This record gives sequence, C-alpha cells and structure tokens, in this order.
Amino acid sequence: MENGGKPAPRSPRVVALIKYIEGSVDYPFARIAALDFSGDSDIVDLLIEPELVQDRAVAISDIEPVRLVFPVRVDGPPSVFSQRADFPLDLVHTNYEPSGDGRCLCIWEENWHDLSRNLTAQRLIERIRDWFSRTASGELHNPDQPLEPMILATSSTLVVPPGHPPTEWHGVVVEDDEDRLTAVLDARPRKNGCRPVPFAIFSLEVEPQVHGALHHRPRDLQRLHDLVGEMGRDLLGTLEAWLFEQLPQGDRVIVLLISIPKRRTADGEVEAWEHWAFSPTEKIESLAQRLGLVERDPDTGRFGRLLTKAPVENLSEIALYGWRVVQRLDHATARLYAGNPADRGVSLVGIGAGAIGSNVMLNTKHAGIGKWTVIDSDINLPHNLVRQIHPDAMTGFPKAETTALLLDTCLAEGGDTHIRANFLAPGAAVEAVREAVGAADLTVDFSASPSVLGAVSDNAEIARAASFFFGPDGRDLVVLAEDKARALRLDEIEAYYFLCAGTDPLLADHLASARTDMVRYANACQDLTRPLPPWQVQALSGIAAGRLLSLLEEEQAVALIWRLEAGSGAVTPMELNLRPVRRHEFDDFRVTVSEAVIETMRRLREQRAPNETGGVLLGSFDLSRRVLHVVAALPAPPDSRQSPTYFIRGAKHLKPLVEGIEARSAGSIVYVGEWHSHPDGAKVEPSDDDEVVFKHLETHLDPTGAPYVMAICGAPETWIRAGWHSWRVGEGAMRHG
Amino acid sequence: MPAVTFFPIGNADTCFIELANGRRVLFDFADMHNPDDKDDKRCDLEKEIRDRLNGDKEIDVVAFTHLDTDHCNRAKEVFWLQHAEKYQSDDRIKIKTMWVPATAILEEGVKGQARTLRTEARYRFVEKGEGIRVFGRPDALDDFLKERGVDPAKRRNLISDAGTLCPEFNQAADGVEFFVLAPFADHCDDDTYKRNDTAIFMQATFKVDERLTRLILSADCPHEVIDDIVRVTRKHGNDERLMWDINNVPHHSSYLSLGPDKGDEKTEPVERLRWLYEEQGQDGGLLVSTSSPIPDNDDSDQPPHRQAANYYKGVASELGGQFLVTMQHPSQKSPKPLTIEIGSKGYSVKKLAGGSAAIIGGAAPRAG
Repeated sequence: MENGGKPAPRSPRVVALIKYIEGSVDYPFARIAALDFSGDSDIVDLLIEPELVQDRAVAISDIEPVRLVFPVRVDGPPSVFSQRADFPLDLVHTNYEPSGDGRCLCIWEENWHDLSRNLTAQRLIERIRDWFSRTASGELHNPDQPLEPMILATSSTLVVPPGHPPTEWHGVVVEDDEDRLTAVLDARPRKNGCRPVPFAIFSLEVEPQVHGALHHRPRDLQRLHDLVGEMGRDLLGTLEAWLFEQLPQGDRVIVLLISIPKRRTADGEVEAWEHWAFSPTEKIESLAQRLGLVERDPDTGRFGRLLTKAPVENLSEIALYGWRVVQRLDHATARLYAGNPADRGVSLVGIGAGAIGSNVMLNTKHAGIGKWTVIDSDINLPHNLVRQIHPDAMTGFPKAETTALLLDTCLAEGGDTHIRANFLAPGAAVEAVREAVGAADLTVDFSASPSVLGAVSDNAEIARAASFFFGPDGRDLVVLAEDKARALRLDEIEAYYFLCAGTDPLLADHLASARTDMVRYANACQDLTRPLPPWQVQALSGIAAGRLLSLLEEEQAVALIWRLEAGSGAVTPMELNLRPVRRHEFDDFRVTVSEAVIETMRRLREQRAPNETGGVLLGSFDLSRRVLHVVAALPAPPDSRQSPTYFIRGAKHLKPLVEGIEARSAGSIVYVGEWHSHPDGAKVEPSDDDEVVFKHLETHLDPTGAPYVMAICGAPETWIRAGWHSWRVGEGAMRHG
Repeated sequence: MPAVTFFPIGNADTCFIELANGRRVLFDFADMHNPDDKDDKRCDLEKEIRDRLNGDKEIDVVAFTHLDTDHCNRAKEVFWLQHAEKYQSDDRIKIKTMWVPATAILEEGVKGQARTLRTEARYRFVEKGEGIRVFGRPDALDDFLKERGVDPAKRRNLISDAGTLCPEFNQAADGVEFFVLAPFADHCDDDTYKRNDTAIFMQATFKVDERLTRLILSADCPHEVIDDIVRVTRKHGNDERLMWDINNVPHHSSYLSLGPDKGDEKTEPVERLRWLYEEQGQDGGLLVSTSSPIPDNDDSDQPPHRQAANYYKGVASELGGQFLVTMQHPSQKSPKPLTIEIGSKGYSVKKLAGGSAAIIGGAAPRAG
C-alpha cells in the first residue's frame, strides 16, 4: 500500500493506534516518535508516559521510549521493546533474547486470542502504561511469587463384560478368598500378568426376552434345562456336544453361562443383556458320565465315548451352584447405578482438559453420560497433577490423549476420542474438530478462556454449547449454557453474567481477584499457580458434573453460580435471570440488545412522561469478533435536565457508579453509549440535537477504538445506531412487544 | 487516599486538597477563564470544584493566601458569604473556616473581590469571632480590634503564628498537618502591606501508612521573603518543615522568587533558596508551576520566566523527579487539572486517558 508515495501501515491495529494517539480527544499519555512501514513489520516508536509513584521499586522514567513491532500478515500480538539504553533490565521480566529492536518486555501474560478480544488501541496503550506503572511500584512481579512453568500453549462372583456376549469367553483374573472366588471374564485373553483361570466356560445365548420375564433361579440342571427350553434353546443337546470337546481337560470346573438378551416389548430392540452362571457339582468328565455320554474304562481308568448314549440319570439330582454375575459397566448400566435419569448416552465435545474439564468429563463418564471427544493442545506438567485426573505416569503426555484414555478405560464401554488441537487454531485438525462438534449433542467449553467461549458461540456447526469455569479465586463455579434451540448464544449469556458480576451485591467480589483489565479464570494454563486445593476443585467439579447431566435433560438456557465457603464447606447457589436479546447484524459487526435494556428504557420513559428522560448504556464487546452486547440502561443522573422537548443527561454520581461496575466485572462491562426517550407521537429517529449526541460519542470514543451506541426509546419501538472504529455505522429499530 | 489538585487557570493559583476522611481544603480560588472565548484553554474552575464536591455545598477550609485577583477571582460569585444576604443563595458553596493573612484584614483602599473578601474576613473575625483563622499577629491587628471594641485576647485563638501547626487538622484524624511558615509579624507591620510579602506560606505533611509526603505551597512570595522564611525556620531548628516532595513553586515561575538576576538561560537562586530546592527536595521530587506555558523567548516581562523554569527543571532532573506546568499538563493543546495522589509510596501524578471515562465524567449534549 502506498499513500502519496509514502509507505502506509499494513496492520489495521497500527491504523487504529495512530488514530487513537493523534485523534484522541483527551491526552493519551503516549506520543508517536517515529513510524516505519517499509520492512516486514509495521514499526511504531512511542514515548509512553506512565503514571508513577514517587518511591519506585524499579527506576521507570516519566517518559519511556518503546518500539511496537506489529506483524502485518496475521493479527498477532505486537512485540514491545524498550528503546532506553539504560533500561533496568535485571529488575523486570523481559524476554531475554536481544534483538535489533531492543529488549522485549513481557507485557502480555495471556494468550493473544483472549487478549485480542477487547484490545482497542486505547487499551493497548493503557496496557503498556499499566505495565510500566506496576513495574515502578513493584506490584508486577513479587519476587516470592512462584511462576508456573510456561506451557506451550491435564458367594463367588463372576465379572463379565457389558453388552453382547463375545463368541468366546476367556477367564482373565481369579481371586480366591477363603473359597469365595471372584473371576473376571473377557472377550480376549489378557496378555500379561494374569493367572490362568481353571474353568471351562460353556455359554449359551437364548432368544430375546421381554424385560421382567425372568423370575426364579434354577437350582438343578433339569430346571435350568426347562427354563432355557422356554427361551428357545436346547440346553442339554448343546451341552453334550460341548462336553465331548472339553474331555481332554476333563478335570476342570464347569461354568454354565446363559446370556439372555432383553428388550422392552416383544418386537422391540435388544437393550440389555442378563447373564446367569452356574456350576454343576460335577466337573467335565463326571458330568459327561452322568449324562451317559462317556464310560470309564475299568482297566485304564480313562473315559471313553459311548457309541450309544446311556440312560440319563435324573437331571434334578445334578445340583447347580449359582454365581453372582455382575457386568462391567457400559454407559446404560453406569447411568442406572449413578442415578442418571437420562435414557440414552450422548455425544459430547469437551474443550480443555484441565482442572475443571478433566474432572467433569471423568465424573460424567462415570455417570454414563456417553462419549466425550476431548480437545486440548497442552501436555500434562507436574503441577497439573494436583488438580487434574492424571496420574504421575501421564506427565509429559498430551492432555487430550491421556484424558481420553482415562475416560475410555473408566468403564467397560469406551468410545471416547481426542483431538490434540487448539480449538481457536486447530490447524490440520480443523476437519476433525468440525466433525466432532457437528456430531455432538453438546459442546462444553472448559477452557476458562473468554475467546474460546466466543468462538464456540459463533460456531454454527455446534448443536448447543455450554461453558463451565471457576471464578478467578477458585471458590466460585460458573455454568453458562445455551438453550436447545440456541435462541440465546453463549456470549450473550456471558455478557449478562458479567453485568451481574458488576451489579449484584452477592457477586460483589466474584471477579475481585481478576485484574481489572483482564479476565483470567482460575485454571487458565498460563496462569500463575494459585493455591487451589484439590478438594475444592473436586467439590465444585462435582457440582458442575451434576449440573451438566441435568442440563442435557433441560431445554432452556441457564446461568448459574455456586460459591463455596472454604471454611465451612457451605455452598451457596445463585441463578441469574436470563432475558432474550435482539440481534442486529450490521455489515461489519453485530450488536445485541438485551430485552431487559428495552424494558428498562420503556419503564423509565413511562415514569417520566411527558418529559423526555435518558441515561447511559452499558455493555461488553469483543473487538476480535466484532460483537457488542448492550446489557443495561441506567436511569438519568439526578442532575439531568428532563423536559417534554429535550433531555440533557447529567453526571452526578455517574462516574463512580459506572467505574464501580467496570471494576467489579473485571473490566468487561463498560460504558457503551447513551439512550433517551421520545414522547408519544414523536418519531424514534434522531433529531438534529440527537445527531449532536451521536457526534459527541463518535468524537470521544471512535479514536479509542471502542464501539458506541445511541438508543432512542419511543412508544412503539426503540431505535438504535451503533458505530465502531474503522467499520461502518449501523442502525435498526426494535418493535416493542 | 489523599489527593492534591492544581488547575489550568493561567498565571493564577488554586489548589484543592481532598483528604482520605473526606475533608477538603481549598488554597485560593481564581476562576480566570473567559466563557466567551472558545480558544481559552483555562478551565471552568467553578465547575471543576463543584464536580469534586460531588453535590456537597461546603468546604472545610478555604484559604486565601493573599487577595490578589489571581488568587481570588470570582470568589464572591461562588461562595456563600456570611456578611451580606446577597451572597447567600442556595447554590453557593459555604466556607466552614476561612484562612487569611493578617493583611487581608488590615489592608485599606481595596476594591472588587479583595474588598468583599476583606469584609467577609472582618465580619467573621470581629463580629462573629469564629469561622476564621488569621495568619500573622502584627501589633496593628491588636489595634484594629481595640478600635472596634474587641479585646484582642478574645481573638487570640483565631490567630496562628509562623512556626505553629494549624489546629483545624491533625495527622491522627486527618492524615495531614499544616505548618505555618509565613507570614511573620514584622512583614505585616510594614506600612505598605505588600501582599506578596505577607502571603500565607505553608508546608502540608501527609501521612499514609508510615510514609510522610510533604507539600510546600509558596504563593507569590519574592526571593527576599523566602530567604527570610528559610533563615528563621532554620534558626528555630525546623529544617524538616522545609523538606518537600511536592513544591508549588512561587509566583508562576517568576525569576524574582529565586533571585535578583534573571540570568541568560537559567536563574541562579540566592543561597538559602538553593538549599531549599536542592537540599530539601526529596528523591523523585515534583515541582509544579501554576502558570501559563513556559515561553521559549524573553518577549514578556511577566512570569513565567523560562530561566526560572530551567532552574526548576534542573532541580527536578537532579532529584529524578519532574517539573510540571499547569497550563501544559498533560498537553499544552489540551490542559487538564493536575491531580496528585498521595500514598504509601509517596506521590503519583494521575494520568488518566479519556474515552468513555471522559464522557461519563460530564454531562452529555442535549438530546431532542
């Protein structure tokens, strides 16, 4: 790009940055020293003026020269280099690779995807200024604070497998405890370390039976034969043929294993299997003899097959000892034992296999939820073991793969899979991720990353999405879930959740330990290690897992928070009252307006009629996804002037109120514009005065890179206009219901 | 935490102090801006002060260091004055205690704002016997009372001498104490009552946690008076009372407040003033010039003088601190009030970027 023969910036972020510094109505405390757009990157040299305490832990200057190097081909993070020759390097955290641009400062702790969501040009400068300020005051890095290692980017019993019986049974384990045996059977012999099981296993599959048709347990061979006969099979005939085959190892104990397929109705599908197992008092040879199949040679003592079957003794005298047969768990049985009311297993995608993700997935797996596909790009590191499900031996292996392995082996029925990928940048796994979320009944974001939440919200392949995370200090659990029809998207729910964090007294300290300019949840992988006791992780993960199960049975969207009091162990639940939203799709960005905003404006309008009234609008926005959520309309400050023909919004008490909400919502809920009412009979379109109001917003906010909205509430409808830096202005009307 | 604010009002002084417990002190009030001049960058001081009062209509202490216009302009339009009903409309700001130098009571032949404030000061001092503190105790003040039938002994509690603490504040309750450095009685007994010579000159010492942060407010005193202040204060063993972290340098950076000679590039201060600035300034010390932008030439005789500013800049540089000019902060293009927070790590100059914070800090334009 050439502009009058002079190279122009190629990065849109540089364009925005220059606009902010040169066009900001208020002094931005940063000046441009030099620009260079001729090389591989866009370079902006700035003089930064941080706010500094007098007593400085590190000798930061009132004016700090820095160089910002922006990638031009992709939207990546700018590198920030100190340009000061005597910058006190040893006292601050810097990236130690020297470069021609100076020393690279560690301005960013979080990943670029999260950071870029709301990194306006103003916030970029403020982040750099804040870094210098906190470095100077010694708040940035406490020397005692351990840094988490950086991660590139979690009677006798027979046990039988679940489901359809195998064609061949193998005994794999037997435990003998004072004549009470526990024997484990499987479809395949186990290779290593198992003692051979001294059983001969006769298995017979009968005709499918309607559920509940079985009653008394047979105690002798005759009764069993009769019962199996009723189920369409000839027990004796089959048993005789089998006994001949088994004669070479004639001293083995017999296990008669009858498998009964069960179904709900006479013509229904087989839904489950029941197994009965019996051992006759006789071993192979003697049973064959009693059944008249063989005779012992008096000379050799060996059994010989009789050509003509001898008369069979009274089968009722061949007693049967019953085994307690238990099936290893498939999903259905797990649901039964877990009290999970779901009548089928589901397919789920879990994004993020860290503290909450790995625990919730394993917990719900135990409850027979169905099959998980685990998406994660990280590997397990030692500190993860405290909070995750992984044993030490899995350290160094990928979280996705190890989690799927643990899920897959926790029940007899597996089917869990993994995709080792970053959900935000899946690379070669893009198709696998697409297929997985497309096939899933529910996609659950456990990543603790607002940007993943945003990407999940926007993904049209997803049938339904939810996000589960802990609050920043690890004592609050947050569950946000879309309704089945996705009428409310996850990011819209999140915006309302942030509003509640900013305004609800019960949540006053919910995000208190988050940085005001950065939401960072407790288990973010690049987080500094916070002391988060495993019992707390598991207590809250347990609640989360329970809520996930019931979520699958419900239609509606929910936003729920649980607070755990570590001292008493008390848990307090809170439910946020979600409201629908109105969506406006403009050319380059999307604006949603909560129904609560419209209701508030209408109510205040009615109260003040015939005067006009108004106030400020609050919302959250995501710069990278170009989405603005308007979530609250505040009433007119007491010094406002309200008349039938005009409204002048005052400012009394407003700034501390809005800044308090912003602080309590960790910087998520901010001022986004102005609203006012028009009287009955007047149009909702803006008057000339209103155009001045919009211009006022544009003048102050456009250079900062933040979006801005003006809303006018009339009798039949509410009209909005939104503007956003570098994109066009959009307008729309919302009819009142 | 306590905060001190200076305002962009040209060559004029106003310093608003808000304490951690909510009490407020205003040193001078000089609303200089011309609302009819779009290019006037001086702030609407009345609005700025009212914004900071957040709806309240009373200030605990308003000090008029002396009664020159650049220290009291529009005071009679803004404050609720006890001596006449015409100054008592509801929207006026009340002054719980008024601080004035003795000359503000004694001076004759004054006009305009100064006359009204003198009348108010006399009313509080003579008639009411409360709501005022008078700094300096020249013999003339006793005569003044006697002539009006008031026993001077009965007003003794309303008078503070140099070298004492103002009783309205103390560090335990308010986190601050104000030490009176001047005026001295002998300055006030001069027949001509030079206002700049007899102005209030103070040190405020803030205490946050165990950190003491000291602020010197030096009004418009010329170098001879400051020299005397240093001499007398040191004589009494009160060097500590001349230490400073923040120094509101005198008289809008006039060279005459440093020494007799302007100098070509830099004013050299007289010896005692050199000691005051170079020895008593603390690490990171901040010097504030309440003045118009520092010129880059000598076209005007009026302060600020670039040579004086150069001296102060040199002091700031040696201390690792800064020299700020109210009409150039944060930028000459768009000056804003200079707010300095006092905390457990000394002072910090607030540097807030605009955007939405600026919008919600004020009223919106009229919507129709």
